[in-house]
Amino acid sequence: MKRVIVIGVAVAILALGAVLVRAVVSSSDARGFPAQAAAGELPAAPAFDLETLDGTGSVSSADLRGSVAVVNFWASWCDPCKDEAPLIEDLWRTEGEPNGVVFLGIDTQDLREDAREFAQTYGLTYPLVYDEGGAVGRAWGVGAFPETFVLDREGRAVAWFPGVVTAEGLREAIAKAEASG
Amino acid sequence: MIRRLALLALVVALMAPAGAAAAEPQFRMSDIESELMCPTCQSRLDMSHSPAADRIRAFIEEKRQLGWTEQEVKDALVADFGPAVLAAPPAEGLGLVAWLVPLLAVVGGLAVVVGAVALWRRRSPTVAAAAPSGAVADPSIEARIDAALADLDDAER
Repeated sequence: MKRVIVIGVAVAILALGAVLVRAVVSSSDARGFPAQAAAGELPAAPAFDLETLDGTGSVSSADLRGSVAVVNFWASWCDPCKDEAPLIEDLWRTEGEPNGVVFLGIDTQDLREDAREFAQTYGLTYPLVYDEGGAVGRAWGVGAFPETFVLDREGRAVAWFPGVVTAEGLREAIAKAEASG
Repeated sequence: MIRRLALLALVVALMAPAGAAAAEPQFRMSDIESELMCPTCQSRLDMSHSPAADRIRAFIEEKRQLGWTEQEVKDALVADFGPAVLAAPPAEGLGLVAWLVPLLAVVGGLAVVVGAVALWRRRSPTVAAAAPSGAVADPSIEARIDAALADLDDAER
């Protein structure tokens, strides 16, 4: 009986340890994604499949393959996002859409109603998806808002912009992604 | 007749409470704030003043004034922010581990204490039986004690 209890306790401790290690490893992996992108390691972007903000469809990471993509994480309560939104919209209209560069806004850690209002206020016409529960933002290691990643045609991150992007910086990153593959 | 109906409508309108559209709040802000997390700063909502926390507080207040229950507000926030917005993890899925581990630790600790006490009580009578009060277990020791006492008596004389 005593042996059974000891074995049971040991198994429980090991299982708990495994859960904790997995949680730590996965969270450190998520933090590593932007850092790897910044270091030029071309990390593969974490997969996702999210509903559009207006609820009429969905966009997945597989949909981005084959095109250079600008993925912008934002939230309606974020003041810098308000400054950045018109810039992204302008780049999308003048350079993204005409050249086949995909722009995708991922609204995360936000109230859906607020996000829809934000999109309407700033007249955003590029595809917007809603990260319900914030899991995708966490998987991409998004810790501050806004954050933008530029992906090459293989879905690898060639650039990471913490904070508001500049038009010049984004143009350079898009050119780098187009050269990457 | 029309005049009377108009007068009745006016009286009814005047008797209706001014804030008829607003419902009675079902909970206090301070209660719910301590049970929620700010999703971007990983601290409790009542301890956070980030823009996200301020917006969530405003959302709660809006819904509170509309008569939503505390649970309805929590459900709406979980739907948008995920279960991490709750200060206490839900008692299901992986969140169950957070509830079960302390419970198992308490139960395990109690089991160890009870087992140790039972073991100690089982051993105690054996020792007592081996050495009943007033008796010395080893006859040689008894003989040495007697000899020592005799020596003491001789010395006193």
